Amino acid sequence: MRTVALIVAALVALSVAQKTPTRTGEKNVPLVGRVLADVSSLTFGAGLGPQHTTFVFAVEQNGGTRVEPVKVSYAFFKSEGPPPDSFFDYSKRYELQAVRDTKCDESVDSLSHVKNVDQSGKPLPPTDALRFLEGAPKDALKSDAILPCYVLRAGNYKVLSQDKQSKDTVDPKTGNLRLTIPIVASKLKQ
Amino acid sequence: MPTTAVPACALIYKFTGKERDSESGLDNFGARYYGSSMGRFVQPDPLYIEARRLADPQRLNLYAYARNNPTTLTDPFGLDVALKCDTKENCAKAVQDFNNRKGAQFKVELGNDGKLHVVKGSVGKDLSKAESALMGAINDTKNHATINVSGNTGQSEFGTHDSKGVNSVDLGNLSRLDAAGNAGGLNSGDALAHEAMDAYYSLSMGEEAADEAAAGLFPGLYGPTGNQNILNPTHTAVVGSTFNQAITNGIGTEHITIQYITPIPAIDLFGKSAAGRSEVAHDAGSRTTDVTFVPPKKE
Repeated sequence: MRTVALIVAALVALSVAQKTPTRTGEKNVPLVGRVLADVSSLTFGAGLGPQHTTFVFAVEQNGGTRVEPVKVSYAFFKSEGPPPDSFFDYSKRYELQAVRDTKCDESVDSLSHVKNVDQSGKPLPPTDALRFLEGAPKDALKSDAILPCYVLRAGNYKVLSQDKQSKDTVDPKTGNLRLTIPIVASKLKQ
Repeated sequence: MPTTAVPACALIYKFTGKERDSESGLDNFGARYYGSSMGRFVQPDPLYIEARRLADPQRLNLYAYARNNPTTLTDPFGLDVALKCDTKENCAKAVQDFNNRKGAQFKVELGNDGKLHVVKGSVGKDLSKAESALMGAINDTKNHATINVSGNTGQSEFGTHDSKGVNSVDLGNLSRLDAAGNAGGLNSGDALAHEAMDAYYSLSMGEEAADEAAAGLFPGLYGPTGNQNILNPTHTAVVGSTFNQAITNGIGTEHITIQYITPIPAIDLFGKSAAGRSEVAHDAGSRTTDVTFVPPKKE
């Protein structure tokens, strides 16, 4: 009986060892805050792994009294796709479960511009690539700052809350004031 | 009554149609030999690490034939990584590429059933972890992985995961990995082996876990950085781009150049959301035109 148990344990260990992730073995860390800006760059990857798209996230610190901007590399497979348009909404407060990856740290200046070259490889003026979300503070990023990078797997986030819209609307039929109710802890994945 | 002559060749095909080796008396099941006198395989099943075997005591005996139930179950060639190719020539090219993978310790061939078979007598001694896993996937009779092989998918990805058990490769893009400028980086065989293992693992785990398990055996790519747009002469359209992707085992980086089949007007690119950009890039169509291996910088 004991021998059988040992064999079973060994087989389980072998199985687990084979399936242990090789690259992102690090633990997910929760990042609470808001999406600050999208990095409007075209390249997503050449396969043999997930594709990536990048955005800047303002992480709340000290109970929300200050924020630290970080770079988020959103990793997605073809079937999952990049984040939906509705994800890029500054009024939404998120919790991301992301993995720190020092290898993709990048300066704000570098993130802000996509280099352009002509077909002979000659450099051309760069294109502005940083697109601040509506309502996001544009002074939150200093161009010489190096942003720590986190890798976020597709769908590994949830909306904690959504701000009430700044302008409540009036229903044209009833004349009643239409209030926006904050969304609490709803899963955004679409 | 006249005697019916039995062709000599028919006599060597025994239990479930397997060829019997005249010297050893063992039946060749491709991945391993079966001793019919003992009713056992003489080598353990290459899939010894499958966790799901633990729930089935009959499958804990790695030398048993078909869960000790030969009257109901059979263990056919199995050899179950299938190639589904757009042309016969591309199938032949894929097999050739597959056999050029770095660290290859056995060769494969394509059977008439469209499945990869391990070439008899090509198996080296002391298989590496990666080669052992690959052989296990090819010889797994119960789980069926498929690689769609195309000469030109119209996209610049070397290989992608499509759905559970199904991956695709683009031989046109893969050929760029074998160019002189990429010496030291991934080759087309490495990429094919990566996709085969990814497809196989995706049968029993999620996409991310399958990709990482595959990358632990045959490296893949991740984290594109340093993107540069290539603009047309009037600077109004993006006709291509260059970027770097790290090789997952840390041996270096691939510098990749792609060309858009339909140039993307710059106005349609910047300011679009991530989903919009992805759609634009997909619709434009693309090809990998150059891959250069960049070794890691010495610190």
